[in-house]
Amino acid sequence: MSLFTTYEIGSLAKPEWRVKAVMGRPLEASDIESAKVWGERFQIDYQPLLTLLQKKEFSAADKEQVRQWSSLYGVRLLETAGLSVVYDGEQQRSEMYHYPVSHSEGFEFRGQMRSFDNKYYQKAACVAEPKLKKPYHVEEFRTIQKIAHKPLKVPITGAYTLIDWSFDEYYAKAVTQMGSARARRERQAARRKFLLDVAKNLVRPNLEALVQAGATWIQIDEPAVTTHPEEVPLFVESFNESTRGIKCRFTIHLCFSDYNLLFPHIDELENCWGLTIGFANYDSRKLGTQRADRPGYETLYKLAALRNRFNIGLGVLDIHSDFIEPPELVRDRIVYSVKVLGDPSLVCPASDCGLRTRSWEVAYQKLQNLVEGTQLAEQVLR
Amino acid sequence: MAEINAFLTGLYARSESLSKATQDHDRGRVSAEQLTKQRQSDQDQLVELQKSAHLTYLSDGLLNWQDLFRPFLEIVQGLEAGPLVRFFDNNTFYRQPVVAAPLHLRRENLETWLSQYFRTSAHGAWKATLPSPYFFAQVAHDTAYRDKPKLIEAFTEIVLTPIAEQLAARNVKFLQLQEPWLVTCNRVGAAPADWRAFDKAIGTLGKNIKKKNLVLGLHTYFGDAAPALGPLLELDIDAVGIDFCETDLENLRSFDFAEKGLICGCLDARNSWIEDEAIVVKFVERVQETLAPRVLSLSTNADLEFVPEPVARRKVQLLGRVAAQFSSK
Repeated sequence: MSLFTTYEIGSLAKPEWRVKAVMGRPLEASDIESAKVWGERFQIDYQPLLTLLQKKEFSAADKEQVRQWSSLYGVRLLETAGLSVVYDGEQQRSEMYHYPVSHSEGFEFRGQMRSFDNKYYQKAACVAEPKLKKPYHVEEFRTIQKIAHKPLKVPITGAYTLIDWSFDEYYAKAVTQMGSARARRERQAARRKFLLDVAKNLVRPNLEALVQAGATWIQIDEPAVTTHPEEVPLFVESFNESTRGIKCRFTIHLCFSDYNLLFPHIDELENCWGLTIGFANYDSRKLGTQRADRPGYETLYKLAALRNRFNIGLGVLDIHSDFIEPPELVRDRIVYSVKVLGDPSLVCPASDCGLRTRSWEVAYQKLQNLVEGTQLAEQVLR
Repeated sequence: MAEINAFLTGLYARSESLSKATQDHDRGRVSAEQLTKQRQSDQDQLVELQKSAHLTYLSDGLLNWQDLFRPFLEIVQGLEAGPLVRFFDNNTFYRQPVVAAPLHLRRENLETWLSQYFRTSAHGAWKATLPSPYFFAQVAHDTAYRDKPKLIEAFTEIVLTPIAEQLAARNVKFLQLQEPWLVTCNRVGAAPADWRAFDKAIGTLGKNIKKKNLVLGLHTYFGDAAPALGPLLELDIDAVGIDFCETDLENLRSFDFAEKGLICGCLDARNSWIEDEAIVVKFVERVQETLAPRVLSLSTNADLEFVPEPVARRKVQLLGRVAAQFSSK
């Protein structure tokens, strides 16, 4: 039995044949060839997909079928790479913010915002108390349940990120002043109400529905957690509100932040089995299992000192780079981390974040090396 | 009654058309000329918007600036682009400037660069935005000078001052230095050596541009200005900018604005909620009563790039309406 459970965080790039077919754009021969090549690699019976992709026009039903094929490819990519726990690379979803917001009531999209360079995203405003139209990941989960051969981990965007990435035109109405301590208190109170309503009305019912459908591991994605350091306790409150009393393995995904800001507040998390944290982005590419070799993993010392012994989803793959981590580098990152945490059962090797920005070729190689590196680490540690 | 101004601050939001054009250009679907044409169209519309709102100074919106530092990589030898860093507590990122070698301004390219990044005209009074040298020195990864005071001095003398002088020749009447660091990351006060260098650098910059009739403002945002305001008011600048989403007006009562202009960040550039005009007007009245600045300039607290363009437009229109109520008094 393996010492470690390995997984990817969430997103994979969507293949061009899926993107073009769903957008109604013409496919090229290279798109169809890609479906064939990857289908062979993943040992999928891809012929019906190729037939579908040859169509000149795609009906709504055809587009839905293409999305389902994309899910199958995503699942098989992760499974054939050798990961222990999988999902579908979020092939059914548009984006981690846009998807839940567009499936909820009380939000209206206000337009495009720039993230950096020429990368944009649509940002919504809360215009009424957020309410769920219907749980928005259950159908996807059920589809993936039927096709996956391995256990599943379902990613879902958390309440804090949903509100932090939204404008507030509803709760902000309670702020009646400007430029005063009272105005600031009103704003803080409005923001807390917004957050807890999203936790109770949107996130929690989704979690309950997923568990009822059979989900046993749900990863709550919270990339915004350390954006406002003074609000980390608020994030903890929202997580606890979202998950209280629900029987499931919950992990929280955090990335590209100043992780020092999480302490000591994260020790107040309840019903949280683990924290998945991106470390490789900050680490050296040198081999070695000494502290000086692994500068990206300093936060482990603080994690090891917590009262709560969280399982750590250990980011060992840098998702911002096409650099293919050699298995030996993965091995050393894992061995070092086990040394710091003191217990291999507290470590799950993973990517830093979703691999959406990498080509499938790069993502696949990285994940294969993640698996091989984990096996090497096991040999060292046994 | 103070003289009342109103103007934009920093980077303006890109329209969906311009956003799409930038993405299409990245993917090779449109040419550089087509992208430039779309940008000019956005700028034309922005200028018209500012004119119809009767804003005092016109801004080109910095629509081709990827962040406050990026354009300088093209004109300053020794500067490189570093990793992506979150811009304070926003879901926006900038590339950390890396000072890899002593700074050197490529003067031979300056004219072209200025035309590309600072659109002005002979008509109207224009406003330009630059990063404050203090802010620059705090965020830059500096492997050349390895000394923040020296970097503050170098960036001001070698980069900002010559650029500011050229901007004055292009009908820029107001130069605003963006300075969020002082009020966000400086809660225990600036390092004395850094502050001395900043004070001296601002003095040098101010002296040079005063000869060119250029007004110099330093705008602070994303944080409470009260702890830093005393030293800020002693700088040789014409106006200090304050973010009133983060600052309590009552805490500023004891400060003397008689000889200084105030850039009043009275609209929230980070929320799409359009403020109640009556509440804003009442607040501006309180600012006048409490601080009595020599010149009161109304603006948003930060760059309108933090909201979508249709929202930004409504904020500008609101700014104009609020300013108009004071101009008519």
